[in-house]
Amino acid sequence: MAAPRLARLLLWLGLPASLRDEALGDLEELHRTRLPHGRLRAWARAHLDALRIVATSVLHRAASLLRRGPSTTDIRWATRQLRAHPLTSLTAIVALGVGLATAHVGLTTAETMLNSRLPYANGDRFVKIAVPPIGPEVAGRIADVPSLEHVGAVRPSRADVRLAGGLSASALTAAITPSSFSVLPAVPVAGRLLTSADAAPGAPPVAIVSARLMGGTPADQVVNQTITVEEHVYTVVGVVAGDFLFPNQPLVWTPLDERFIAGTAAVPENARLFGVGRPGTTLAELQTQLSTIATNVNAPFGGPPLPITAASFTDLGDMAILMSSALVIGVGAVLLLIAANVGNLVLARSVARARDFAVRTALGASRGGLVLLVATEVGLLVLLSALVGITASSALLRYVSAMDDLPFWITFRTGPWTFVAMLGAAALATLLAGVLPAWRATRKDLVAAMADGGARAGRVAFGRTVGGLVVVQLAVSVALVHGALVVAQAFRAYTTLDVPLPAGIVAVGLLGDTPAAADLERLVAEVPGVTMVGVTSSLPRQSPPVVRVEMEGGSDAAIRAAVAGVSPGFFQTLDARALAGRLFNAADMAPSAPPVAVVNERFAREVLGGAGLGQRIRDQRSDGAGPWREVVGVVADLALNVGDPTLSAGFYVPHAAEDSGLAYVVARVQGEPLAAGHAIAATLRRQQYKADIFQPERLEDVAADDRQFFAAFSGALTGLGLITLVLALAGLYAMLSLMVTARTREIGIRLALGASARSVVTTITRRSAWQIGMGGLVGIILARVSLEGRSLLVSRMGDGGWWTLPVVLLLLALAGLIATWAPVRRVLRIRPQDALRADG
Amino acid sequence: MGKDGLGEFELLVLLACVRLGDTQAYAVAIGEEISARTGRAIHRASVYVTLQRLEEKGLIATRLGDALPERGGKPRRLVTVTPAGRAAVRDSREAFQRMWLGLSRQLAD
Repeated sequence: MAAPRLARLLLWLGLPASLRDEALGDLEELHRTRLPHGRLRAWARAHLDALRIVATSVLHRAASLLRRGPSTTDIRWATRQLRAHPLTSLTAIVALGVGLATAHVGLTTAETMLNSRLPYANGDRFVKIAVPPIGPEVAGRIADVPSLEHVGAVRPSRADVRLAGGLSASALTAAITPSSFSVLPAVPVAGRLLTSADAAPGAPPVAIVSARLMGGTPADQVVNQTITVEEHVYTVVGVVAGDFLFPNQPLVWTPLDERFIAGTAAVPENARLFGVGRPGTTLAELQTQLSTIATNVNAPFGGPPLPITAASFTDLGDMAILMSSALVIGVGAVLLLIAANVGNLVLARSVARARDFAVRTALGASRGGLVLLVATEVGLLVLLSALVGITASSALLRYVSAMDDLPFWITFRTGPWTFVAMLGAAALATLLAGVLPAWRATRKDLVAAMADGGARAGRVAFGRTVGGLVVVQLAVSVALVHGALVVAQAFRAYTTLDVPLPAGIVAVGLLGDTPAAADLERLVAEVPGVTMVGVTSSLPRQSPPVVRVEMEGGSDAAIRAAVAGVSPGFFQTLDARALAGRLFNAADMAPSAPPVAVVNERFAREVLGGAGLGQRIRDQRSDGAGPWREVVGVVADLALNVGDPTLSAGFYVPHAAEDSGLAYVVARVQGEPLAAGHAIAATLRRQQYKADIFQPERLEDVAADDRQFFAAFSGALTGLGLITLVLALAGLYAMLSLMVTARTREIGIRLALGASARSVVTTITRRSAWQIGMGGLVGIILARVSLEGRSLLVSRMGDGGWWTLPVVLLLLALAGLIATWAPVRRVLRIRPQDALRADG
Repeated sequence: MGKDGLGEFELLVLLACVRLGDTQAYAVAIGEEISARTGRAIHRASVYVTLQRLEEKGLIATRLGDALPERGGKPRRLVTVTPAGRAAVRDSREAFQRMWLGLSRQLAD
């Protein structure tokens, strides 16, 4: 009976050719001698023997290679190869650099999201406690939970802050239970910290400030000065070190009522509870104790448990875990994709060096030695890529870390596990991009390669998988570059100041139960420095609602236009004059006034076909048609909607008729607009409207976030698109190059037999032309689909115009020509007599 | 003795090859010979690796024998100890003898 098939397969797969036959024969011989002693035993021994032999052989070969390692000759050869092919080397370095940078950013972000902790000695014991509105008794019970050594509360906010005699500025502040400073690493550099007495009802209003607020002023000069926080005046009793941060990055801390800890008052409104666990207790134990309280509160009434939960203070929620997982998977996929592309390049280069490898083999080099040679070259590429990529990614992480909006404990530092993972990523990249392709390229009989000029060795085919990969990458690059052009045009639309607006205008928004426009105008007009005031539901360059418009007696064609509700003062403040008819007056604002509209110039021209005075229009919204409105005037374009130029035609209605709950007060002021804006905001807050008051902003800064977003997004899409395109073209180049190498003799024969260079080139490039065409076609579909989703990003963004796709496809064709140029040039330089000489 | 001395297992393999002769020394027989004479369990994997190392050092030469039906038609790889290998074995014996000299009484029970 023959030796077990699996054992034979193991030996065949795992042993080098020089040992294979001998080991298989020994296996057969021994199996026959063992059979009389028991079939099962012989079967098991055969498999164990095979496993052990293969494992020993692999370890021995790996140890030999490692002992040998790349010599200085190998390194010099590798450097020469990189210099000899600068274009492909640079492509590989950029591609691998992007992959490693992506891995660095992604893995660091994932580790940060999962493992962040407060940068204190006891930071890992801080927890946040989520509670519904609760009374004093429940608050007291929570404070008495055995697992917690401290319970406190904090209420962060952003407010206008002005240190005595200075200018006011918007800053982060926090009201905090003073007793919490016993568990926080706050160190006073002047004065003292807050105490429980400061939070007692009727205590003098005091505050402590951060040294970051001081500028160059010595800290002890600030103690006993006054500080104004949103119209409330406090006495500064202490200054803390600038590196103390809690709960975010406030500059001012004021005392928060902490009587809830003793159970004698409710938790202050809008305050967030937090606690510090006792050493050795777990989050699970704390949650159990809180759940007991939560259940017992409503149990006597048969009600459900209160939703009281605890989580690590730095916990970013389930979404963080999901995003981290997605990041790690995404990073892995990107790196694999890039390494596979670079691997194709290396494979093509390795096959093209078949003669060189054959000479080395004839002189005694082993296959492992050849693989080590190529691995050294790729290792050098990976090293250079890592230097470039990780430098860039480190800079990016430092930039992101410095953003104000991030929690202060998120520092994006590369931890030890990320470092280990990065080493693994680099090793994986070397394996995929270097070792495996080189192993594949040296699979064939290399000595025979010398006889046939490399054609036999060149029959390492790029299969359908690689071809499909190239098509996918081309399609993705078309969609990305197209998206970049669309976003860039939106960016241009936002930034082109084709509508001059007066300077010195500030806007303050209200959202909620807003008063009538006339009342707002009257109130704000009294603020010192305000010379004109108006009200609008949408500021210039924002994205107002777009409605379907119907013209009385007009066609049924769908007309879409932007609409904004404004007061008469709005037009005056923006210095807008009627180009025809009139603008709104006080009478139009009355609830019983006939509905009217003022159209902008573009609407009059494109929709009404002229001034259109007296014509009637109405808007169709989801809740039904609005009233018919008479067009009473035409005003110049006031940047009603610049995000999408096709929607810049629009009209205005009296603000009283708009019931969106959103109102912006726009005021022309003397002096510094923002200072006046803060005064206006303070005036509005004093009225205690049931509405949120936004931070004031200058009119020219409106939609600045959108502009930054577009600029960044456009840049990112362009970068991604170009990198994907370069990778795809690298794959194309690799395939074509290999094909030319493999078919050199065939090409020579065809040319010798009279074939034209054109027909030969067509044969060689047919496949790549098909792939470029397919990539372009799939890319067009992807681009159209993603265009429909653009409104998910921004409420209004144009579709880029008819010329965008043709430009992208032209770019693709041009890039394809570049990728195929070098291989085609090689084909055209083949001389039949040289191609055939390998036979002789 | 040359600069690179023989390892213990390398010496055992060479001695087994000398004992078995040019026509009988192959991996299975070498392993069985060492096991029988030393009482140690020797695995074929170690013999393969050692033979490869000895061949790289030039202490043995190998050739393929005839294909045999009891080996599934595969030949044996027969080992011949080269003159350099014999010299290395002699050097090792002399080195051990010099180290053993005068130690009989200390090593007696």
